[in-house]
Amino acid sequence: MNPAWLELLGEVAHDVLRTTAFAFPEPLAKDELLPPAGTALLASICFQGDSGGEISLAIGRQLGASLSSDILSEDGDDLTDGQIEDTCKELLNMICGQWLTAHGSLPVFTLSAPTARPLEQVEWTLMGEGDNSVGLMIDDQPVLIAMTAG
Amino acid sequence: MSNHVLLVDDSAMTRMIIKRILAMANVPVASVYEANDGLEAWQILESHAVDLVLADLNMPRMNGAELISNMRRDPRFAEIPIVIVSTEGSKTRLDEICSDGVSGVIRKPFTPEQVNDILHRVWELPV
Repeated sequence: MNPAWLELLGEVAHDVLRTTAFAFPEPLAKDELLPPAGTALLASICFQGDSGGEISLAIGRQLGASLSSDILSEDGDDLTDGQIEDTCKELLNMICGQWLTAHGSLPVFTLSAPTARPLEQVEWTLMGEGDNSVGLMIDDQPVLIAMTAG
Repeated sequence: MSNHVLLVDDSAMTRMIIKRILAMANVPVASVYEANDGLEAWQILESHAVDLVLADLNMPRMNGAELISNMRRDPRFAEIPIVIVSTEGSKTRLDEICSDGVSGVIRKPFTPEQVNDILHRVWELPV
């Protein structure tokens, strides 16, 4: 994976999380990439243009609920899993759109509808160990963003 | 003048954010209808008077570009202003879609000021 693409991915993720969720993510070193406590989810979106790929966002449910609560101005305890998934999918949608625009190599592209599913701890670990992911820390909770591109 | 706005986005989060902005903005909004995709939007258009459509592009079933194209071909809806609210940043693609007659584009993530500004422009309200 091109390191510049990953660096750009980390930058746009930082901007989207800051602008939309009022969060201030910090870069997370690979050796600090412990899975989040509790359950986690993986949101994914595919893009297709002259070439294609996929961007994924891995996040703990607790942090997902916290971000959703901040964005929706609702008590985190009242949020449904569906609302948390929707928030994570939409954040990823924005990250992907921003990355594609900033990257600039795909003048015309289409995005799939984002999907979300539970993420096992072992999957989190594998995703963090890959050279196609970047890590961020928000309020001492990890976020992983990975990309595959053809 | 009080306007009826139709929000079309498969993200409930985005619809809720825009609804909040509309409620806080200094713009005359009488009602806000919500649709999860273009097909739901079409059903609302056929049964309610709508003065402005704020539509995402990337949606299941009927996407935003299809909705815009269908509205522009139908004399009942051809004159309703449409604003795209999307992550889409490709100028080529936006130019293509805007050739169907789009009043403006709001890129996600957006600020309340950006939404407010474009509403004032579309409805020609004093700033």
